[in-house]
Amino acid sequence: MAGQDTASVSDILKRYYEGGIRELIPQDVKALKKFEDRDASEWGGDGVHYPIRIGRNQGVGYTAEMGSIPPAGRQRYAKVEIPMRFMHGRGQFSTQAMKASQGAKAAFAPVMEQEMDGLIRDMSADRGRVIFGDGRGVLALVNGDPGTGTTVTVDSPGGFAGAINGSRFLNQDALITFVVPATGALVASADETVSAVPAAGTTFTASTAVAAAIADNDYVVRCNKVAVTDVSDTSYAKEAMGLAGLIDDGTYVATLHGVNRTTYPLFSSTVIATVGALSADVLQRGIDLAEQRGGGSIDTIIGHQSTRRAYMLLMDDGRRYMGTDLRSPDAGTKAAKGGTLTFGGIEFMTDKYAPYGTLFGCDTTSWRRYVEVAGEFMNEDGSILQRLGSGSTAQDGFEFIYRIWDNFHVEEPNTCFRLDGITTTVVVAHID
Amino acid sequence: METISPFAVQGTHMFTLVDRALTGGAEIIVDGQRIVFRPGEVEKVVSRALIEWLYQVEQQMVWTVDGAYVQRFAVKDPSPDLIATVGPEVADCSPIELDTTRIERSNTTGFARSSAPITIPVNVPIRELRDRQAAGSHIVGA
Repeated sequence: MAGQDTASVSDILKRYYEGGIRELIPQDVKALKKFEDRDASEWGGDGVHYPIRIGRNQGVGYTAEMGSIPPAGRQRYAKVEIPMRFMHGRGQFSTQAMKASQGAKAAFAPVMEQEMDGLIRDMSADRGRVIFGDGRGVLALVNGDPGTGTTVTVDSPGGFAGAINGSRFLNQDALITFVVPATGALVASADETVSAVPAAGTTFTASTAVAAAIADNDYVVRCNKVAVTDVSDTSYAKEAMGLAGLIDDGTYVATLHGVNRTTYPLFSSTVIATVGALSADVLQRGIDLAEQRGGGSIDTIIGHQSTRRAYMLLMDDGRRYMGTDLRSPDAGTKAAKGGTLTFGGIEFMTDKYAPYGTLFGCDTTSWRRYVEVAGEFMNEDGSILQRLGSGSTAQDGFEFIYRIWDNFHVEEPNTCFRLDGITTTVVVAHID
Repeated sequence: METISPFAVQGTHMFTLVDRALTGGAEIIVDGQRIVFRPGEVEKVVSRALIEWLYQVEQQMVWTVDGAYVQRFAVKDPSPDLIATVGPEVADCSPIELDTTRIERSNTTGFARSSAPITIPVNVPIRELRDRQAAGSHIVGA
């Protein structure tokens, strides 16, 4: 006769569950917090409008005794118009799932709380990407004609030129579609659900064969409805303005909040393109130009972790180890434990959503976040949870909608600078 | 609603942009639009708005082997009005040779690292370390 072992007594063994749900999705949106930590500026009517002075009175000059006095000049102004941007998120659950998950004995966490709190966190994460964008909402560019298969090759993550990790901002289950860059028109019948994002970072898999009309360099953008026919039902050109547009010279946004940067170059930031190897000189040049052009005083430099490594590499040759450390050598810097590096005392901040090979030199004193709705569940009728369907379509479940209505602005873009095309070593890592 | 960039609009105010490097293989990004010069493509018809913008920014400034820092692109037969707006250099379509040895393409004479990379050997025998110290070296392993 065989004795008892754990297999034969498995029917009487309980299962021990430890603690709650482990959060594996990092929730760190540092650049976004730079804006959100500031006092919200009020918004109302049809948008925020304010004038900017963009030219001096040139009716000045030294004169001879009884000589001519310069002709009258005038100040030159332009008008800034900041539109509101509307972000919505929606979730739903069945009543069975809600009831079955109530109480610690029944579930690790109640479905209702998980879904509703999770939606807010997930919207915040998407805004972490948006804050680095240019308002167009480009997740990636199509790389080559994908034909009519289900695999789409992409590059330029977030719309920033680059061959590496094009699918960085694409996630499984996301509803996306394609936009023609030159016209802003929707590619017909092209909305797809992302079914997989391979780790190589160069492709994504669509749930069905993609439309033949999709072409090289088309924008991949979020889509708000299945079978979309109107580009207004996508996120294209509806996202809040991010740093790529705010700290820009027209490369990404030629007209920022109503002000044409060709007509009014003062509303441009200094952009040093194709930097190549990062150097202390080019960083200081950006800082100097921001001071000369706008009186800026850079207080934060923001970039991706890979760009910070390029910055650290810059100092490698010059680093020496103290004698006392030789018995316990440490090749790292305080960045290894999440500490903040500096350049001349200026905070060097990293953000996983930042574009590769780019640094933003920021004077944050003129950064503004205009807010109409800081964040709330739709509740005008007194009910956050809405029943699903009615009459013959009624279902025993609920849905909820969360909204954030705001926009970001930099009043003095010429106080900031941007370095593009910095040589970095990027490790392909997906952004969840 | 479609949003059409003024840089992409085809109209009467169009000019022929010339790649003075005569190589093509370049990309101008303006207002989020990509104007691609494929390898070997040295001319492209573009809008006046693009040219006015291009001559205000540093995006396509390049170093030549002659040590000049110039706009890579110029305009074939620009109108007097365009020349008056952006400057006479817009009409200079003379060929240039890019200096590809520059570390940066921006307006610096180049960036040199302060010293050559240092190799720090590991597991150096103590006797050898002493020998080095005796030789007057200040930095162990240097």
